[in-house]
Amino acid sequence: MTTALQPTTIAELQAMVTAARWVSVRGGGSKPALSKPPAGAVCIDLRRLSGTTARGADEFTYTACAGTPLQKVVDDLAGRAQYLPFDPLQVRCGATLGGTVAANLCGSGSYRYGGVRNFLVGVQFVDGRGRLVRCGGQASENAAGIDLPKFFVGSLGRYGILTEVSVRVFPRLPCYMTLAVAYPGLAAAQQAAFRLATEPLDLDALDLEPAEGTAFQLLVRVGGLEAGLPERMARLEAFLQGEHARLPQQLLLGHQESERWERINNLSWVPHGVPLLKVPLAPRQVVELDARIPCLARRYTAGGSVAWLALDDLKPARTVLTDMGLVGLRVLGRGGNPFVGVRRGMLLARRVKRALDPAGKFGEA
Amino acid sequence: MTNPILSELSRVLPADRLLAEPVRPTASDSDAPAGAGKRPLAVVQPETQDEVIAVVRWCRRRGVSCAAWGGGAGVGGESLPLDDGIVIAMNRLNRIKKLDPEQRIVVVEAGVTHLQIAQAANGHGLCYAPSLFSQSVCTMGEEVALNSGGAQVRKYGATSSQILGLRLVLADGEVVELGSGSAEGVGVGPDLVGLFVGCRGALGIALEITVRLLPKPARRRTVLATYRDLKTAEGAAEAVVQCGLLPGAMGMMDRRAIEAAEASVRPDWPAGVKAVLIVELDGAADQVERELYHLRRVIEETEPDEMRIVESAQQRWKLWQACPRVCPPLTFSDVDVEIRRQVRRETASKEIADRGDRLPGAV
Repeated sequence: MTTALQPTTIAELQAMVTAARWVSVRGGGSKPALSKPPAGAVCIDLRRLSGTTARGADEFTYTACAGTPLQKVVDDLAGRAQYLPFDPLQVRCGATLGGTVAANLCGSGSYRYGGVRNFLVGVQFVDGRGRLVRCGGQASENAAGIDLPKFFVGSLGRYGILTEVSVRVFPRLPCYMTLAVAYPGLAAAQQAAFRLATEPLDLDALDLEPAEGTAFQLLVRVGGLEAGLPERMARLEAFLQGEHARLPQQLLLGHQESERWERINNLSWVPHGVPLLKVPLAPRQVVELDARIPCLARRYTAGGSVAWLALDDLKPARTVLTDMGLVGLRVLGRGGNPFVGVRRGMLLARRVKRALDPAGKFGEA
Repeated sequence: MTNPILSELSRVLPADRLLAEPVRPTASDSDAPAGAGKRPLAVVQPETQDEVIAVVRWCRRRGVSCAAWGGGAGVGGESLPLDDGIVIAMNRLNRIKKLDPEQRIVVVEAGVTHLQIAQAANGHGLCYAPSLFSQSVCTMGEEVALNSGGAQVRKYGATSSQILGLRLVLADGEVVELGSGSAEGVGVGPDLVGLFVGCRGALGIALEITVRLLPKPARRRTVLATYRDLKTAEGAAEAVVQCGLLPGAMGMMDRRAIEAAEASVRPDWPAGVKAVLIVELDGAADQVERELYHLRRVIEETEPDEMRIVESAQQRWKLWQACPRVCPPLTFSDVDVEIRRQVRRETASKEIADRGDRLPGAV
C-alpha cells in the first residue's frame, strides 16, 4: 500500500514536488480510477490543504483551498443562500473542490448554465518545478489574456497541483420540481429532449435514464420562485403530453425530489465495484452509443451531452468509442490509464506540459 | 511585384487575395478605435481555411510574422502585426457551416460576425448569450481571440463559456481540433478550448468555431435607474446582486461614460444624470414578472433619482449600445473589476484621465 504525503502548507507541498521524481496527487479519494498512484510515484494527499480563503458574498465568487471537501463548500454556500451552478458530483462521497475541477465532474444541474469550465475564474497551483503560480482572479469575469485557469479543468493533476480554486456562484433557487416522463425507448425520449431544447422553459436538468424493460424516461427539473413553479410545470406537462409520452407522468416534489437528484449526484445508481466511464458526446450520438455498448447501468445527463456508462469490460467500449471518435474517462474502478478512446488536441496539450512540467513529474500529458 | 518576398507570397494564394504595394494604413492594420497605424508588409484576404493554413505555413518558412484580423473590433492592438508582417484578414471566411437547433449548436467559420450568429439563432427560438456593442463588425474569430464579455457575463459567462469546439492553425502551421460535440465543451482532458479562447492570437488562429446556443428567454424586463453619483449607483448594484436575484445583464456608467454615450447613441434618460444603473431580468415570463416586482422594491430602497421600466425594444437596444460606449478616437479598455472596488477604480481612472485623454466609463 502506498503511503501518502500530506502537506499542511503550500511551502511543504512545493518542497515535496521539488524533491520527488514522480508525483501523483489525490484529494478525497472519491474517484479511485483517477487517484490511485502508479507504482513508483510519490502520492500527495491534499486533504490538509483545506478551508475557505475568500468569499466574495457580494460578488458571488468563492475561493477555497483545493483540498476543501465539497460538502463544506456546499454547506458554506447554502448558509448564504448560494450554490454551485455546475452541480459538482459526489458531494457526499468526500470529493474535494480541487478534485472536481481536475477531473471535470459535474452533474445533471450543469444543463442550464454549463459545467465547471463556465464557473472557474481563478486557480493557484504548484508546477513541475515546484513554483507557485497564481492565474485568473476573483472577479466574475476573466477576460484579460490567456485563461490558464480553464486549462486545469479536466487536467487530472498532470500539469500542476491545484492548491486554491476560485469559482463563480449563483443565488440559490428557492424551490424545485421534477417531472418524470416515460417513453417507449431511448430514441423517443431523445426526440422529446430535442424538442425541449429550443423551448424557453428554463430547465435546470434534463436527464435520460432507463425505465422498465426497454423504456426510457426523461427526468426534467425546473427551479425558481415557489409561487410560479406549478404554472411552469403545467406548461411543461402540456408540452410533453403532445410528444407521445407514456402516461402516467410522475411529479416529484420536496424531499422526494431532492433525494432523487442527490442519489444521482452521488452515483449511487452505479452497481458497487463496477467501473464507471464518463463520455462527453453530441446528443445525436446517444442512441447509437447506447445500442453498441452493453452496460450494467447507464444514464445520459445534460440533455444527452454526457453519457455515464457502468460496465465490467472496457474492451468493447474502447473499440466503439474509437470508432465513433469519442473519448471516455474512467471515474470509478481500478487505476491505470483513465482514457478510453480518441483524445483530441494532444499536440497543444503536450506543449503546455513541456512548459509547466518539463521533467514529467506529474505523469504523461 | 518588385518585392521578392511578396512575389513569393503571391504564388501561395490566388491573385485577388493579396493586397500590397503600396499598403496604406487602413482598418486592416489598425485596431478600431485605437488607430495605432502600423504598416504591414501586405494584407492577404483568404477565402478558405486551406488558404489561411497555407499563408501561416509560408510565414513560418520565411520567418515572417503574421496576425489575424477580423472586423476591427479589437481595441488592444491584437491584430497589429510586427513590423514587415502579414495581416491575414479573416472576414471572407464567413460561412455558417451548420446550425443544429436540437443540439443547440452552430458551427461557423472565423469570419462570421456575432450578429450573423445571433440572427441565425433567432430564427429557431435560440439566442447567442453574449451581446456585444460591436456585434455587427466583431467576427467570431476576433471574439474568441479576445474572450469578449458584455453585460451578460455574470449570468452567462464570457465568450469562453459559449465555445465548445475549435479548429485552429498554430504558428508552425499545424492544424488541431479541440473540444467535443458535447455541450460540456471540454470533452476529456485539459480544457484546451478554454486555454485558447482569449489568447489574443498568441497561440494560433481560429479557423472554425462551434458555438453553444441557448433558448431565447421568454421575457426580458429592463430597469433603468439614475443616481446622483457613482458611489450611490455602486451601492445599488451591490444591493441588486445581494438580493438573491440573478439578472441576465447589468451595467453601470459614470458621468464621463454617460456623456460619451449621449454623444453617440442618444439613449433616452433624463438630462444631466450623473450615474446610471441598468438591470435586465430574463427567463420564464411569470418568473421574470415576479422578480421584477422584487427588483423594483430593492432599487427603490437605494433612493434613485429616477427609476423606469424600459418598455420598447428600441430603447432597450440603445441602452445596451450606450453602456460600454466611448467615442472614437479615444481608447476603450475593458478591465474586470469587482463591484465594491468600482469607486476606488473611479478615483484611479480619474487620475489616469487627468494625465491623458482617457475617460473612465462603463461597468
